[in-house]
Amino acid sequence: MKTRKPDRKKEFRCRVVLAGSENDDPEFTKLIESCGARVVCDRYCYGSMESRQIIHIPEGEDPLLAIARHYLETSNCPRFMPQDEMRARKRRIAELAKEYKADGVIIASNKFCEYWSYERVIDTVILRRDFGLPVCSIEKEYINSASGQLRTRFQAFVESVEIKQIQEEGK
Amino acid sequence: MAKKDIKKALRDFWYGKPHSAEEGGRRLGDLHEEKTHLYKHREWRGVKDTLYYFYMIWLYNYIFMVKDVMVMGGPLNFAKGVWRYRWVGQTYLPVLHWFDRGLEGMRGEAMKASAWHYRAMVSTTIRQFQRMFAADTRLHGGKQNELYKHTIAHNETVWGGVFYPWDGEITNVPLEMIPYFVTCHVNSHTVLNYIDAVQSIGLPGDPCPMCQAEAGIFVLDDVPDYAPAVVTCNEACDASVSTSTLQDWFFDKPLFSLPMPMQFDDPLVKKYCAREIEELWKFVEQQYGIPFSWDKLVRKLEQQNELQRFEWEKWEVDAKTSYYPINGVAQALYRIYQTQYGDWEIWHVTDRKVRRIMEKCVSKKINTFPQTRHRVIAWSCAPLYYSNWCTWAYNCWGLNVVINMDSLMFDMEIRTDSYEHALEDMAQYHLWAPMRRMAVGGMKHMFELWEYMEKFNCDMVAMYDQLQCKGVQGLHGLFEDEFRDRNIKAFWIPHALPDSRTVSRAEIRSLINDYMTTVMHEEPLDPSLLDFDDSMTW
Repeated sequence: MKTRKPDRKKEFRCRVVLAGSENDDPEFTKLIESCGARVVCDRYCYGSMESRQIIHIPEGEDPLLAIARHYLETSNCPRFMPQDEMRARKRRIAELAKEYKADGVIIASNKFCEYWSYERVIDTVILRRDFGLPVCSIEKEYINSASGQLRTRFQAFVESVEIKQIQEEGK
Repeated sequence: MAKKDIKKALRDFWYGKPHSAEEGGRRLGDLHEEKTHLYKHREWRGVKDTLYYFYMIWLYNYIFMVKDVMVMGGPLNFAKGVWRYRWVGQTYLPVLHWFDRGLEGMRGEAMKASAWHYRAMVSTTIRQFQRMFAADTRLHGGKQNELYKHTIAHNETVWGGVFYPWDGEITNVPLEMIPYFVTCHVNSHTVLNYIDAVQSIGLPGDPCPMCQAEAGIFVLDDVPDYAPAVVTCNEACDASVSTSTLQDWFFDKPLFSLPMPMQFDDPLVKKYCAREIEELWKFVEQQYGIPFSWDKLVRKLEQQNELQRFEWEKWEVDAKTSYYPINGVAQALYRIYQTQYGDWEIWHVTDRKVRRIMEKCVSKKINTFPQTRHRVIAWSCAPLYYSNWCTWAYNCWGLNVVINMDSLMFDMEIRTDSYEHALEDMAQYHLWAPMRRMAVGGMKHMFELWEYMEKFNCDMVAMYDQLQCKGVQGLHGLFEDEFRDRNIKAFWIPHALPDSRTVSRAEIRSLINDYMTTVMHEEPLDPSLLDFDDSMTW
């Protein structure tokens, strides 16, 4: 016992995928991370997953056309409604969670974004039910003004993920 | 009793009391109970009209509501459906109250023609929900019967005409038309439960309440499972797109999305839309194994064109004379129902009856709305829970809503001389969907108001203000500016489509009353209708 060193304190208490409406506010990510959740991947309309992909320009093709095609093919905005795309969006979040070893998903919709208002509601149910992922579902202002309430939500989510992990370890 | 009074009593008995307060007044507001707005006693419209109303509207429709159920699907399916689905149980019996609300105070030919429109809507409604119940796996022990295999479900905003090539083989039944849209008109309370249901699982309150209600019937599992495949669309707005996602999740069956491009004036977009319709046809062929029939498509399109040509005749009479025998609510509901659903026999039967009445009015120069003070055009989307506001407005203020935006939406015939022309026109028709062309279809189309206002000889605008419609909200100020610049008399009717809790009927009436007294400086025709509490009515 005398020689035992205390466990190294984890920098973060859990890893999360962040998905939802367009968000260009880094403070929002900071807020989540200040609550103990490391954002390992963000899947906003134009987050790092969607935006940091190579735009292929076939030889001889107009670059503008290539950009247009790229946006249409890679965008995961919920305005796309073919059945395969509607379902692929759910799978994609689950795959990202698996790929980035996330413990849970935070789905955030901006106030007045009707697409994500619905998508968030459905994702919240489907990701839990069909993929077994803990989900924190929030609706927020475009400008991050309600940080007190959001902080409470995120802290509670992190705690619930931790409890789940402890329960699973105990099995 | 003085001789003069006896004469007046006899005249009132024979013809019904006169409309305006100045002439002695019929005081329609006194006929109702507070809150429920149920009749203390029925309205006396004079001998002829009261008898007509009783036998040819009230009794006739009750008899046919029973007969239609017996003929279309049978009483057993109906009983099972009433037991299983709350929207039909809550709205079947108040149907005649819906008639009463829309036809209140009406007399003569206008009462008759308007009632025939109502009758057609009831018949089509029964046919649709009976088809749902007859094919519903939930009412038949999970079994997929032959009717199920020959029915296609679609979003209520998909024009039924795209299924014409399978006429007689596949029946198209809109998913939400009856459970949400029609029931909302008949019993405004039913829909509130669906809105609450979808919000209870986390949906915020700001999206379009129509789409919320459409989604809510799925959340509460209150939709029959009556077809092997579904066609959905993005009409009229973003929330409708999202509702499709929710429907897909609940249904989990083959689903075809038929998007309508927003920029529909662009010819390139029209080609894209035509291609989408062709893709839909392939989807139907694949799912049902029944080939596309050009002959059926042509036959049905020509029948639909016949309906459209009569509608133009009606508009001609409406625009140029005071002999038009259809009131504002009957005009609006019948037209949107007919154009959205597509060709059906009952529309032709109704049009023949209405033609006879209209021709009589024109030939005998019958002023059908004699107390008209203002000819009103109603623009944008109407409150579903108070579609009969125009009946009240005529009775109370003499505001005669002669035409409305939804009626004018599909102002076109469809060519049938070649496949290319038919497809091109079908794409155009499909693109001019309800709430699309003149509600969220860009300023140019929204401002078609001025042309139609002139064409229909209107001197006033009733401007609907759907508080959760982000499309129309964006142009609110521009309309205000235009009204001022053009010196147009206009009043706004705020509402939240099906949700009567946001703006009540009483509040709508109060806003119109304020406008008529403070801006127009007019006195009501019937003061008993100015202020009353109908908060608990259907």
